[in-house]
Amino acid sequence: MAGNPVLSVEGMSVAFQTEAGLLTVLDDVSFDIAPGETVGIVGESGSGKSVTSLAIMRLLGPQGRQTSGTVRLEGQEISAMSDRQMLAVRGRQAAMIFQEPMSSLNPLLSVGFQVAEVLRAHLGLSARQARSRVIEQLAKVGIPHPAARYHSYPHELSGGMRQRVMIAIAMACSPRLLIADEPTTALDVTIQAQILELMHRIQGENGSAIMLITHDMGVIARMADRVVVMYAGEVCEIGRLKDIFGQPRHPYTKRLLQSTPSVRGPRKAPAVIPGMMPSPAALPTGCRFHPRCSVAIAACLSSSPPLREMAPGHRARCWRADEMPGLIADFATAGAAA
Amino acid sequence: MTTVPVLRLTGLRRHFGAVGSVLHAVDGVDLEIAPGETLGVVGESGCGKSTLARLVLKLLAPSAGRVEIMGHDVTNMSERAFRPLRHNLQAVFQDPMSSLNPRLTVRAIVGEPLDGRRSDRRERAARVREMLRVVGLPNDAADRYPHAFSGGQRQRIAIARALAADPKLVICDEATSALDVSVQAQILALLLELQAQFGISFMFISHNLGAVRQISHRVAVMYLGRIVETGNTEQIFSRPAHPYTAALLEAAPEAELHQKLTAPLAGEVPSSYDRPKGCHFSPRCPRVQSYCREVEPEPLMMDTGQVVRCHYPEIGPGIHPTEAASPARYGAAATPRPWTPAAS
Repeated sequence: MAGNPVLSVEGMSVAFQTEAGLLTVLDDVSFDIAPGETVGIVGESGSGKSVTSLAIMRLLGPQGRQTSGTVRLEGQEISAMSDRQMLAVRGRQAAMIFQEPMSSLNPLLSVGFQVAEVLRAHLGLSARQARSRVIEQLAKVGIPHPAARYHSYPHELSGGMRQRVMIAIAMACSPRLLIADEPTTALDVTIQAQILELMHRIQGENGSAIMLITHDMGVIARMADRVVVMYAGEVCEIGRLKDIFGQPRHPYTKRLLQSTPSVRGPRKAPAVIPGMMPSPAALPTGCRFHPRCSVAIAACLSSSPPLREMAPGHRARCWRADEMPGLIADFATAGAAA
Repeated sequence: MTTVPVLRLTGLRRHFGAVGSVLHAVDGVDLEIAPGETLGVVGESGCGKSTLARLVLKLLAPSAGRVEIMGHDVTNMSERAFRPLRHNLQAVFQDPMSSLNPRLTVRAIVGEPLDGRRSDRRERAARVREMLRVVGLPNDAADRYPHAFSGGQRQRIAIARALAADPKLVICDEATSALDVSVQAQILALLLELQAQFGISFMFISHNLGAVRQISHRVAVMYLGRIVETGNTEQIFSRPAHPYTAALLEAAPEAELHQKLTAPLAGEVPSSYDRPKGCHFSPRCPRVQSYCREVEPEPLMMDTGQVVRCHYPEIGPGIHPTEAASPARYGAAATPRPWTPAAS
């Protein structure tokens, strides 16, 4: 990859302290994001995609901790930083937006104040100095009448407008990394399209790296340059968008693509992946996906496949990854039978 | 066809609020659902789709219009008179955790619709077992509580409960929206299977266009309390006649390479308290004409069977308005200029 990555995660594992002991929920996760690049992290509930982002921001809470690996933000190792140093990183070098802006915004403060807060904390601006920057920022994210909206409270705004405010807060200090965790999941499709377009435009202006976490392969298709597919706390496939969509090498990726209903392409029957994601407390032996996999073989039950390089930058965690192109027929029949 | 529709709505309206600030949640909806048919209802937040569901379920009284269930006018029927018909109508909601009583076992939950209907304990137990089997839950699920199940399994419990009463029509209000895609596919497949087996009709309300497409025979698109387009699913998805339908389809993310990043619609849905003059969609419509801002469109029948509330619907090869769309309809002063054939 050209240039130094903005974010580089290497061999990161995360465990949570539970009543039943230490539970590993993220296992040996590695990926990086270059400046101006969007990496999509996709997976279903319980795949570990949100924990990945919280671990990067050191927001795991008292129960969780990173048990191995390194996270580097612009070359600096995050895990070695003091809490105080982290405060300077969050909002300045790396910012986050979440699914539900209503629960991320303070309902008692005007939205203008909340954008200004970031500028005051990180850039040391006075309230007055921050004000004009805030109005500029609100205009930039497409909020109509930004000067008047400065004084609005979150409840006075629609869901789409609130998410625009969140983006204004996140981008206030032009962070090098924006982590967006299901940023459009709670929004209607026409508003979702607007927010994705906005994120893309702002990225073009700032050259920020975006880590986009979503369960929606359609959102990934629209936004991502590269894709990390996660399953049960592991990366099961990673590659460029066109590798992942064009030549998926992991059966789970293939199934995930199949089970996403199409709106504009040919109509298809619901493609069922039988069973459900295992809990981290009861992981199957061997490959974590094998109980739900239609092409599992004996090896998959007994030994856990490594993440293997299939093509430059395209890695898959499957014993049969080489055979996948030839197995497409198996998927077609299974999908149609459902 | 002479079959009696399981559901017929005529001029159904529901307004909220007082004089001066009235919210038109559902504003003149006409639709029918035939036995064994699935009608998908799509639209964005605030379009009135959930109010519509509550009106059909008689959880809310209409301000005007008529609701007929299997040929019976139930609009003003008392709860007592309605009771013998009630079991025909069941519902599955978005969040099973809040629609399943956490303090009841699955047996009690699934058996509840049988309360008040003639059935002894043994019949009832057999029915519960049967329903759990039908929705693909293990037998021992009956003794457990909702919290012991995953989201998808809870939705199966809600479906088992809906089916226990032997309904003719099940209203699914965002029933798969909280589920992961692989689980959503499981539930959609289950609903299709149940329909094939029992001939149930579904009203499948969702903002997820892909899911609606997979399960519906026909689709109704709602905008600000009105149905702006109805038609057969494939017609709607392949040749939408209303510009709002077209924009919704374009905005929906598709899991394919080479997706456009430009949003098809600017702005947001206007407030239902203060709806735009003329066509309610006109302020956001990419193809708006001055006429649209003045006069509200009436439903217009296309030769494909689609019914569209638009002065200037999409026309082109294989899709034209029927006779009723002739310029005379609007008066000579405002002769509509038809679309040039679709740019797509």
